Amino acid sequence: MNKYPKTVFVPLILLLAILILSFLVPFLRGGIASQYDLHFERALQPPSLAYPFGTDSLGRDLFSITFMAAKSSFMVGFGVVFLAALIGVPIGMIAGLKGGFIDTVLIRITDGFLAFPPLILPFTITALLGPSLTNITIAIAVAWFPWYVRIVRARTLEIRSSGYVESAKVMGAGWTHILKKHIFPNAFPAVLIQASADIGYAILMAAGLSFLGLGAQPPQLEWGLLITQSRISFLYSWWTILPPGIGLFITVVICNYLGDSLREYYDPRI
Amino acid sequence: MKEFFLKRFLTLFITIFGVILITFFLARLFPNDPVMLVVGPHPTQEQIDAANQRYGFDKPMIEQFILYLGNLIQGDLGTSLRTKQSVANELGHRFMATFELVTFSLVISILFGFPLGILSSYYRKTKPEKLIRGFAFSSIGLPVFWSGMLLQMFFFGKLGWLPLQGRLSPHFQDVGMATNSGILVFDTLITGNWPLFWDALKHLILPVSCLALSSIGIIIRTVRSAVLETIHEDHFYTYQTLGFHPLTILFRLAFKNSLVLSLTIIGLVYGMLLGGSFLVETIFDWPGLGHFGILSITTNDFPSIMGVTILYAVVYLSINFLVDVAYHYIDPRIRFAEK
Repeated sequence: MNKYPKTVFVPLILLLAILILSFLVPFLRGGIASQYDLHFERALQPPSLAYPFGTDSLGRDLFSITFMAAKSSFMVGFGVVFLAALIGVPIGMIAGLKGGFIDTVLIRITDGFLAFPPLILPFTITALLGPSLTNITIAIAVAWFPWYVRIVRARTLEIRSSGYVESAKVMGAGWTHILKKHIFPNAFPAVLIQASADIGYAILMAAGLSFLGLGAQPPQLEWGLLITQSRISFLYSWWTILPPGIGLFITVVICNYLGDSLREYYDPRI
Repeated sequence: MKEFFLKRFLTLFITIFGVILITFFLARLFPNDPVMLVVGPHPTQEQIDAANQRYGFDKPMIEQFILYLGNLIQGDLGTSLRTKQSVANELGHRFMATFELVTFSLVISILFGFPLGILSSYYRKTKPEKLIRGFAFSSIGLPVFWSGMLLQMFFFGKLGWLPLQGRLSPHFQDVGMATNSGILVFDTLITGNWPLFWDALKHLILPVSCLALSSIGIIIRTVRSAVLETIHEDHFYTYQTLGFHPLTILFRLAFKNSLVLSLTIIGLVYGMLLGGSFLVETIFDWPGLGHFGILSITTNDFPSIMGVTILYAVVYLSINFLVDVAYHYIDPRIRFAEK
């Protein structure tokens, strides 16, 4: 593992730290289950020693629930990227490898999905599926798989015509063998770069959908939802809006740095 | 040029057809039963049967699609279940509000993004570049709904300089809606209606800055790599040896060369802004398409949701079409190659 530079490691460790804190902080502050309890008697308290980030309009401890909310965002982020790659990578490999009519049809279909402005397609799909965290994960993945098709197809076309694949073919290798042994391992870094940058955008988009009431539902904890919930109090209680937004912002920026560092590592020209 | 234009126009039409096809089939495949979206909660069997017949859900899928497409060509997007008005009318009312918001944001983010992108390439691998890079990443990572609320908190809550939300103050509401082009700032400026112009402008500042902020980052990053890609060509070394100031080279010479590469981003950014308009219009209570879309979703207004989706995609595709044509026009290498 020491072949990766520290610009890749640092963001990875930071992400891991956030994930660990999302379990640890609520656990240390009265247990995970009790964070869902509402305490109207201590609603909207400004930050103090007892409540470092203050409490929200439902009297929840913002310090704990902000960290706890990281979990749902991570789940959606990884879920989206995993699902999108799961749909996109095989389609891209088949399109690139088979070429001809199959390629044209597959590319036309995926291009159709790219014709929608970002956020509109996930928005429409969740509108149809009904609001929930699982549904926004599916919806964002459906809108995003075309990027993976494109990347993988481009790589496949490149690799397909390289010498070692040609010689494997001459030696009688079937196309499943070529896919497994040559194309997939070589296309993987490109997918990894895209995926690591996409996690951030997926989290951001999911938070946006949750903000609109289409994703996480109360009493679930998610940053976008927490920001919506702060809308009734934020004009006069500034501390209710800051923590979830900062958490979201930091996570997305870390993911972007990770994607950027990976890209620089694999393609130092840019 | 003409041939290119026609070809590109044909692609535009095919893609719009694809968009309608995807929207239609998603709408039919995803919910377990589309009828349920139409009849609302707790329907009776008669209601379900009536809706099935009225919307043709009992017919084969292909037939339904042809019916929908036929109506669409005549400008009929169905009737909104929420407002009982024609969806096309509802969208028409709100289109200009969104267009105003998104277009102003695009202009602002280009005005800031392009120079910063060029500077960022000039200061490559030094402190200022890190600063700009940090700003760009922040802009990409900032949730647009959150930054919008922070702006509200500061400029309305704390300072009281700018209005919280809406497109006009309540006492202007009736006057403001009767305008020519629908772009309030533009109309009031032309007619010289200063109080109204000032009011409209003040309402525009916060939503536009928060939407623009969300897209500056991606413009900076794209312009930077576009400039860096062009600057390594030989003739720029010649300029350097001739003693041109590096900033002159960048802003007057390299910029023109990278313009073609940078232009492609505008179509994409416009799409991002359209997507962001859903969030921004919700926070600022902006009476546009996104606002309408959210209302339609919360009331399961199925024809409206489809209408909003298709309209957004068509606007996005048309902008990309214009960008492609502009791109073609700007780059003499492409123009002359065809002659």
